Amino acid sequence: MGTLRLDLTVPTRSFDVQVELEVGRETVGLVGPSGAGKTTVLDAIAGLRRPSRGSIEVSGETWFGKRVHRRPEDRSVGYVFQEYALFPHMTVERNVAFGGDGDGLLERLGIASLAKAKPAQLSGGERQRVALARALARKPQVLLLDEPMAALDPHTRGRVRSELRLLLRELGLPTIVVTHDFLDTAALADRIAVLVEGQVVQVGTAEELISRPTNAFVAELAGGNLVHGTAHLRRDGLTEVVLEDGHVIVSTDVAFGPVGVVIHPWEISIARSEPEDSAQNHIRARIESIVPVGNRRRVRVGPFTAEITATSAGELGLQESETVVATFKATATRLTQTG
Amino acid sequence: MFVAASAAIAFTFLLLPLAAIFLRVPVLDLIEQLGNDVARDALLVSLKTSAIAHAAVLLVGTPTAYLLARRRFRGRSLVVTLTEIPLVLPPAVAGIGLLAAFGRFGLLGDELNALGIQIGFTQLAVILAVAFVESPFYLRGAIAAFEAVDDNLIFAARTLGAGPWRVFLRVAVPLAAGGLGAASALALARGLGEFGATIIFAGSLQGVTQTLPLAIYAELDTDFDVALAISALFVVVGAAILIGLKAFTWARFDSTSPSRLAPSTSR
Repeated sequence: MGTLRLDLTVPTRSFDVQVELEVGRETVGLVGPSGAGKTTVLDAIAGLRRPSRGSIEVSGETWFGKRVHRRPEDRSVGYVFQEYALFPHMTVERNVAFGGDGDGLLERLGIASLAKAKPAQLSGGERQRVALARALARKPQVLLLDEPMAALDPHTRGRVRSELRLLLRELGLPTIVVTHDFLDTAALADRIAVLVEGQVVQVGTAEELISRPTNAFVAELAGGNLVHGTAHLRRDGLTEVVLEDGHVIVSTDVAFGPVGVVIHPWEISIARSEPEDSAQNHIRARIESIVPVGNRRRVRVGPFTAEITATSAGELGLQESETVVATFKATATRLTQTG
Repeated sequence: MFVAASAAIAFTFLLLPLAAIFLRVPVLDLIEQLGNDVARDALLVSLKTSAIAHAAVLLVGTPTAYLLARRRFRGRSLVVTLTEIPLVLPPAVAGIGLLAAFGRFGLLGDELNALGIQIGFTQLAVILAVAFVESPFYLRGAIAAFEAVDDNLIFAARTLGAGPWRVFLRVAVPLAAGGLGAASALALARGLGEFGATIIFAGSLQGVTQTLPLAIYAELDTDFDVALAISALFVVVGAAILIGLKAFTWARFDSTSPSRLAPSTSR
C-alpha cells in the first residue's frame, strides 16, 4: 500500500531519461541541474508524457506498462506545477474545488480568508498553498511538486519551506519534489535522487550524498557541510542549534529537537579575528586542513569546510593548525529534521 | 512635411465617404427611411440569417478551432491553411462554389432533390453563404486564442481529473474568451456585410433572401435615400463593434494581463 514504483525510459530531444525508483510513504527529492529531465519524470508519472518503455505502478495498480497508458484524468496524482498553474479566471475556492471536495483544506492550509480572491491578487507563498490545496482536493495517491520554492521571493522561502516539510510529513503520501537546489531538497526530502542528463547517478539521504558522494557531480552539488545538533526556537524567531562539539549556531530555518545543519562551503568566510558584520555565526576553531581545488582552497575549520579563493588564502597567509574565525549568515543555513 | 501630408490624405480619403453618408440627408430623415418596407424586410432577413449562421459557426467552429490549436498531428498546418482559403477568395467565387455544391444541378443536387430539399434561392442559402464567408474569420481568431492558453493550465485541469469536455468548457473556453469574443465580433460583422456569395447563391428576393447589403444595391436606382439610410446603419453598427472590441481589450489588459499573474513579492 502507498508505494510508487517507477522504471522508465522517456525520450527527450537530447537524451533518454532513465529512472528506476521506489517511493514509499516518504518524500524523495529529485535534484539536478536544469535540463536534466526532472520535470520529464513528473510528467511521465502524471500521464502528460508517454515513456517509450517501462512501467509505473501505484499501490499495485498499473498506470503505465505493456498495453496500458492511463490518461492523466484516470490516474490519481496531485501535481503542483512550477509557477503553480492556478486557473486565473477562478477564485481560490473554485480552483481548489475543481479537483474535488476542498472543504477543510482551505482551513488546513490557512487560506480560508482568501477563498474569494483571484490568483492574481495573491503573494507567491499564498499561491503555493492554493496549488497544494487544489492538488490535495483530488485525494491523490501520489504527490508531485515541481520546483515548489522557485517562484518565491527569498524572505518567504525559509518559512514556506518549513511549513511544506511539516505538511509533507503529515500527509505521508509517496511524494516526489523536484528542485535544482540541493539545500532545498535536503530540507524537504527524506531521500534524494540526483539526476544528471537523464540518469540517476546516486540515491541516498542528504547525509550520505554529502559524506559519501559516488561521483564528482554529486560531490560538487552536495559538497556541503553537514553537522548535527539539537535545535530550539529563540524568542527572536531564530532557531538556535547546539552542535555536538559544543559550538552554537543560529539559523533562519525553523526546527526543533535533533537536526542536521547543512551549509555550502562557499557561504563560509574566514578571518583572523571576529569581524564586525551582520553575520550571526562566528565559529572560532583550528584549521585542520587546507586542500587546493583549482583556483580555490577548501579550508577545514573545526566541524566546517569553507571554500575561499586561493588569493584570499594567500593574502591571509593561512596555515594549518592556527586558530581562525569562520563566519556565515543564519540565512545561509538549512536545517534537516533528523528525529 | 511629406509624412504629415500623407497622413492627412489617407485620413481624409478613408473618412470622407463615411461622413458623406450622414451629410447628404438630415440624420432624422435617415432614421425615418429605415421604416421603409424594403429596409425593414431586409433588416429582419439579415438579423435572422446572420443569427442562425453565426450560432452555427460558433457551435461548430469553437471545438474545431480548439482541436486545431491543441493537437499536433501530421498535416496540421495544411488543414489550417485550407480553412483559410475562403479568406482570400472573392465572395463571388464562394457563391459559385456553393451553387456548384448545393445548387439544383450541383454536386449534391440529386441527393438533396430526392430528400425534397431545395437550397438555392431560399433563406437556407443565405445562411450557408453567410456561414461559409464568415467562418474562416472566426476560425483564425479562435485558433490563435486557444493557442495562447498556457499548456500547464490544460495539463493541471487533466491531472485534477477533468476529461476533455470539462477541460474545454471550464478552462480552455473561459481563458480564450477574450480572443474568441473578438473573433466572433469580426466574423459577425463580416457575415452581416456579406454580398457577393449571397446574391449568386441565394438571389435578392425582398423579404426572403434580400439582406441589408443586397437591399442597398436594390435601392440604388429606386430610392437612394433608403440605400443611404441602410449604409448609415452599417457605419453605426460597425463602429459600435470596433469600439466595443477595443474597450473590451483594454479592460482585459488592465485587470488580468499576464504580467500581473507573474509571481510578485508579498502583498
